[in-house]
Amino acid sequence: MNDVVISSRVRLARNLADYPFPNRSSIQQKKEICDKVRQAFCDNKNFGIAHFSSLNLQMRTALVEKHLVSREFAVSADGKELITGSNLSIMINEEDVFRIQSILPGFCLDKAYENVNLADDFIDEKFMFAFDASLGYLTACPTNLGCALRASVMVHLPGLAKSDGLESLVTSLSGLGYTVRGMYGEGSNTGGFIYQISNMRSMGKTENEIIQDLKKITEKIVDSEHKARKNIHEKYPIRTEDKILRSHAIAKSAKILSEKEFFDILTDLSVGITCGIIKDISPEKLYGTLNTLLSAIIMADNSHITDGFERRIYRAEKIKEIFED
Amino acid sequence: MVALCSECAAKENINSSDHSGMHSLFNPFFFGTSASVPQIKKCSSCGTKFSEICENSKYGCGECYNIFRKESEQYLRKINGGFSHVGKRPKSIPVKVSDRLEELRSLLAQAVVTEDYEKAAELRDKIKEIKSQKEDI
Ligand SMILES: [Zn+2]
Ligand SMILES: [Zn+2]
Repeated sequence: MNDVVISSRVRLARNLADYPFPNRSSIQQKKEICDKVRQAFCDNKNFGIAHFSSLNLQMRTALVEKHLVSREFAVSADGKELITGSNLSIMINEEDVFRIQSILPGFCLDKAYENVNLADDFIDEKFMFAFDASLGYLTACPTNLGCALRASVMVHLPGLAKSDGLESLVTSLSGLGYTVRGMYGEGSNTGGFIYQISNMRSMGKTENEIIQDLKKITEKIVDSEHKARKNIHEKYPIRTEDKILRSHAIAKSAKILSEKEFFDILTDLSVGITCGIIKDISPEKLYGTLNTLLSAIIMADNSHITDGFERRIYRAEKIKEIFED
Repeated sequence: MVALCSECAAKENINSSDHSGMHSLFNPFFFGTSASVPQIKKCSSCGTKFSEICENSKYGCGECYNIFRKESEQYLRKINGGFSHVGKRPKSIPVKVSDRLEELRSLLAQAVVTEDYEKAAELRDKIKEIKSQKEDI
């Protein structure tokens, strides 16, 4: 599973009964909400307050790359706040007042839901949510009504993409109420073959049903991706193995590594793991590099690295850490 | 296609130019030019007009859903398939046993239709359990 499912994410949206939604609240009201939130969380040791408005644009961009905040959220900092917990982040005054989300590496939707559910229980005790018995949790966008829950998996689908299986997958998923979004690139044709699959609606199902349904769908996708990868290997054994082993060698010995090469290595090594060609790497460590070796993250995490050349050197050094001793 | 707000659409990578569904549903009935409608209904809590909700596919506050319940009904049904919320509730809003039973019964009906007998059996057990608890009290 973990050679295809990169990470699992669940997010809940919540608003307050006595404040407008962020698209209608004044900056004063937003700041008031942030103050109350900081007060509510300040003596809870499980959470940290990021003091979002004191972060500069570069730091905020790094939070986007780490998927702790959305791109829209990072554009400005005024009247916003970010609460962090273990594998958990809570955006204050995004599209909704609370956007509680948990991201875990691998295929862990149940645990991710447990995380956000606990945080929701905590907030529920301190605030009065906007809620309607038949519409559920009230959200700015009516598509989020109901549980206001979006569950998603980030999946790596080079096999399906290269064997033209992606388009029919996207079509059948959208018929079932799921959206597919390309990550790290434009449109659905991303260089990294990394996609996010999420439920479109959360009305008429319980939280647990939404999670279990996405799990079943994901298992099927993983199954077809495995088959696609193995098909390519069977059809073109020498070419496939050559490509994988070259990437393996580059990862082990390159001195300079561009982001494009990095994504190629990610794809080749992952396929190599599935096909039993690569044995000295765990998929978890391999995909963990997505949280450390993207350009924006390298820049934010390492203040001494200032230009692209230094970044590529750093990336080449760090990729070696995925190999097990 | 569900009409999302432009932000959500960008996030979901969906073309949001298709807001026609909502506009065609409501425009001729409720809006027209402001001159022909002497008093435009606004949300008493946040000041949002229903035309603005149609424009942006975004509600302004919780009260908007209440005030524009009638106007929204058709639109919300289109988005959410006519289902009602069956999930979690805030602690301040206790679940009425009768509501819960009704929810479970509608889920049961759904499970039977989709021939998910395993789930149907589960739901029947849950309904029995709640009924027996009720009798205890
Ligand atoms: Zn939206
Ligand atoms: Zn309102």
